[in-house]
Amino acid sequence: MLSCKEVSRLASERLDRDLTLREKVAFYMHLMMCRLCLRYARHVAVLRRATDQLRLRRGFVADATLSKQARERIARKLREDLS
Amino acid sequence: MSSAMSIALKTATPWRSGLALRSAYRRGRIGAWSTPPGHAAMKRVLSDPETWLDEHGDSLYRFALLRTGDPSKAEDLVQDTLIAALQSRDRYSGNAQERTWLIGILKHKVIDHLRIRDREVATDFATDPDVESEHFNSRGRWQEAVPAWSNPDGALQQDAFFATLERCIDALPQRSGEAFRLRELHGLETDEICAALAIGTANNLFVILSRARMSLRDCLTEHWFQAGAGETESC
Repeated sequence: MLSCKEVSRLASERLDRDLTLREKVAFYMHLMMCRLCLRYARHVAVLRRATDQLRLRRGFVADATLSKQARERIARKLREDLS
Repeated sequence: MSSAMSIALKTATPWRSGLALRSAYRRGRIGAWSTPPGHAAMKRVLSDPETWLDEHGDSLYRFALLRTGDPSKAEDLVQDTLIAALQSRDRYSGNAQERTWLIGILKHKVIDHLRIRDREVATDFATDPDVESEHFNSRGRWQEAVPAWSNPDGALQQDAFFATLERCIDALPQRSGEAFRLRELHGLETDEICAALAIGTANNLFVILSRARMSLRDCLTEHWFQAGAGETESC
């Protein structure tokens, strides 16, 4: 039987690695019986959704392209190196 | 053999399972450079190095920007990567796609960069306050009820919520904040974070991230979610 502390760890770790079958069973069994851990696990999941959105909102990546100047500078450097 | 090549060889390993791949897509962790599984066997040849910048420059740049958050550093890393690729192109094994091979070299350069940057602000995780011991008694049970969050879906629609979230992330202890950012905002895999922050074992990182999430939950509870108070939707 997992403690609430262990369950709080798994609520986080399931976002970083695949839990084993044994861990999953123990985790969900605990959540069925423990309202507080269920709540905590939901909050951690909300947090993940929030950071996913934060990343999109910052949007500093999806459409980023090399600037013309950077592209020319790199091209020049590469030509030097090639010759 | 150069370190760049050894990374390149590593990236030539078979793709992850379909499920992991799908979830990585969903999580936005795979960008334009990725190639679906199923192209194996045939040995590839590199295209003319003159075309690399046009073909792969933006993908490499996005990869570097995502991980460093620093546009000018990202440009430098693209340049370093292409030059390193040029110098080691004779040793290209032909197992990986050209772009995968280039990304492999870039990945190595990004990790080196992060490692140097973080050495300058080295602090010990051991000094992080242990948020878990505030919440659990000696038998590992919650000391106090976990407060409910009212209407989290509504929060995710509001600019002010994200401002609060960013402040809470900034308030994390330095190195655990760094680990959390690399994981959740820069989308690094856990092995990359361990390498970048010189964290000994994956398990150490899991503990760090778990505590970071617990601290963030507390911070958001305090500064955003006031539990109950007549709200209809709470969880």
